[in-house]
Amino acid sequence: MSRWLFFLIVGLLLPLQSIAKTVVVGSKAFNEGYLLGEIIAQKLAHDGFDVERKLGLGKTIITYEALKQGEIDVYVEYTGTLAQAILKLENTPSLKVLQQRAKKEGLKVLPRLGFNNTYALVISEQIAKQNNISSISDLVNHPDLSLGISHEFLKRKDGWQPLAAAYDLPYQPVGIEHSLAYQAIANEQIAITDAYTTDGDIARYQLRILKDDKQFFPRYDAVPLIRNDADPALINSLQALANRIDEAKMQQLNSQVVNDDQSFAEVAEQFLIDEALIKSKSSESQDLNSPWQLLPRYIVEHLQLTILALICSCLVGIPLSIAVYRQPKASRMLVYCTGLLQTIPSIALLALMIPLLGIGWIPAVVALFLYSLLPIVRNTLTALLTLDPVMQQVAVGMGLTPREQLRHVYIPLAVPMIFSGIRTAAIINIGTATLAAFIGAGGLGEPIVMGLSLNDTTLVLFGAVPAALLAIFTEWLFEGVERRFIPAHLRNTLS
Amino acid sequence: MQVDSTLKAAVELRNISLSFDSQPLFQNFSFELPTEKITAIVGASGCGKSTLLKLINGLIQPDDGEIHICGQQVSHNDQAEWRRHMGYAVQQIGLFPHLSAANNVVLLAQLEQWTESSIQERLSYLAEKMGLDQAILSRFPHELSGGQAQRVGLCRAMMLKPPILLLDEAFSAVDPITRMDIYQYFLRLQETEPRTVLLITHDMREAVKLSDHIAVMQQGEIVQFAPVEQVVSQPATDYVARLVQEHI
Repeated sequence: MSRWLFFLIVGLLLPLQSIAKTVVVGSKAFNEGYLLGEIIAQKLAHDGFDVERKLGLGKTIITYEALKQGEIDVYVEYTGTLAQAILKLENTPSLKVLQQRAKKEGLKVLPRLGFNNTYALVISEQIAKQNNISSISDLVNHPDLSLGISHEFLKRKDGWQPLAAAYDLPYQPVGIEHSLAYQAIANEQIAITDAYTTDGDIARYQLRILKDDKQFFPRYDAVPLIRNDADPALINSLQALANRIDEAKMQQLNSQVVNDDQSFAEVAEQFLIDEALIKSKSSESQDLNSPWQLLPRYIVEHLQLTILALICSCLVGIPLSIAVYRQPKASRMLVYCTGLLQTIPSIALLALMIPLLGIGWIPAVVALFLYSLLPIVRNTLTALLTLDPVMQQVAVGMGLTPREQLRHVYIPLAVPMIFSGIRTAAIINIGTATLAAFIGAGGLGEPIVMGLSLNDTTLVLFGAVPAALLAIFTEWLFEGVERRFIPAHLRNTLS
Repeated sequence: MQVDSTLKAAVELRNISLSFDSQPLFQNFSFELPTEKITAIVGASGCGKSTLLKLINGLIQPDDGEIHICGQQVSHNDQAEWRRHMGYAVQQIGLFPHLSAANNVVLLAQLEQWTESSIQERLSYLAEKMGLDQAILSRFPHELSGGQAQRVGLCRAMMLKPPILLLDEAFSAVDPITRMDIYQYFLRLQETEPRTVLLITHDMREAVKLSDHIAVMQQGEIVQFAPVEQVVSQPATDYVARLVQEHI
């Protein structure tokens, strides 16, 4: 009987689970990452999945850990990065070998999307035609052409030096800022520079990618990465994207976002329709709205993160300080430890949180909580330890017990300084919380991260300006509360 | 040391020894405080008079010796408890800045869980005796004049009707005229509510004005302890004579 009941319940729950299960699509924080994430998200949504986007998750380590921990279900990785940065292999093996190695890590590498986004040398189309240059080897015969190489590529271990050695190139390159290199080619100041093969600007500046005929550059094939235990339906749906995007296509899509100011959602949708991968315009694309429409959500998320972290650090920091202030050693340790936390770079602290707490708002709140401990602990301890010696003497002399001294003298007189500690912590939190977007916690960091990856200043300002206003508003708010509740003669802040 | 045999002890120090940084301040020091009288301890700064007061209310522990209060020997542990029976006022007054004058006065009574009516009754009694009106009581310490603050401090010290009152230069921080007024308030209260008062002062004139007995202290020793008239008319040493001469 009970067995039948068990099967009945499982039978009822199974479909429920698969319907209710949401696929979380992640991406790294740069424009191609966002775009591919959006393409995958729309494709999955079209195929009936409930899709949640966690795009713009900072660097490789964050996205990769998020996938491993099950915080996201899929993101697009590059084979070269997978081999070297994640699997720590010496060079980039074939896709088959990569798939075997990744399997041991619990991951599944799906077939290539079709393009190889690697380093390349690009040359002005006109000069290439005139001199009949199509591959890097061809350059050997044209030592008169001028070369401008980005500073990063000049320095990289797998950059200019070994490339020049491998091809025996007869050039003394000049270092140039990557963002200026294309303009320099357009102005005919240089003829050749380094680039990424899917760079949207390649078509725009009419550049030709020189063939890497000696296969010097490692392959960075874009592949969707999922976990071994992924839903077969998910794999099916994603496999439809295999070999749909070649370098030229990716360049064009990137260019539509970077140069034509189209949204990721629009470009992704048009691509999927053109490729007949989805049927028609879905309502899904309205999901990514204009920044103005998203602003309230950003602000609310930002405030949630900040306030929650602040409350936690008050609840922990103040009682902790009160508990230890009579013991000089413990007090010093406490200030020392909270100070040490402060020295960890925020992005590193966020990355350290992922193996413990995954991604999303919980690790973000924990990180912000840790950051705001110092001002609160330090101010509380300072206030308690620097109480006017006359007050201390009178409090004891008149017969107050230690508990009564604390309750009726120390704490009330420490309140103004504790309060200004909370105020400092709140302001720090509002600033630091912008980084929470890197681990998918949302907030005003989201447009900043996206804007940075798109080189879109307006989008960055959509996050930065409200964050600054929020900080100012918070100052005012605290000032008002102080004015209302703390008598003038007890205040000790700048207001 | 001359001791008046008519004195009856409310506070008694027996064979107290105390050193600071291995510099002895008291050696085998004994002293008795007469009950329900005002006793002034007069001496130059550094003579040990404030330390004597802190020994009595336990802010400082003696290296050796016994302290008896109202006939009972007190150990370090109960000393804190005894403090509520020993009102305490100091030169800097030390009113708590976050509490109104009234709340400074009634704090201990509230902690002792007096009823609100007995608190109010006691507060208005003290305020009336010390010439403090309702307007002054509702002010915060930083809004009080020096004389007002001093009187509030004294009210606070006497709120719980302590049998013993310890005053450490408690009248010193105000101008002479205001001080005369406060003396009057204080003596009026002492008349209606007699208690054992230890008055630490460097001012012989104040001691003569207020106290029944004077103990003159010099380098950790009491050189004369006698009723006021006797100290004035028959100074025991040249030092006492000089103190009397210079101040009166």
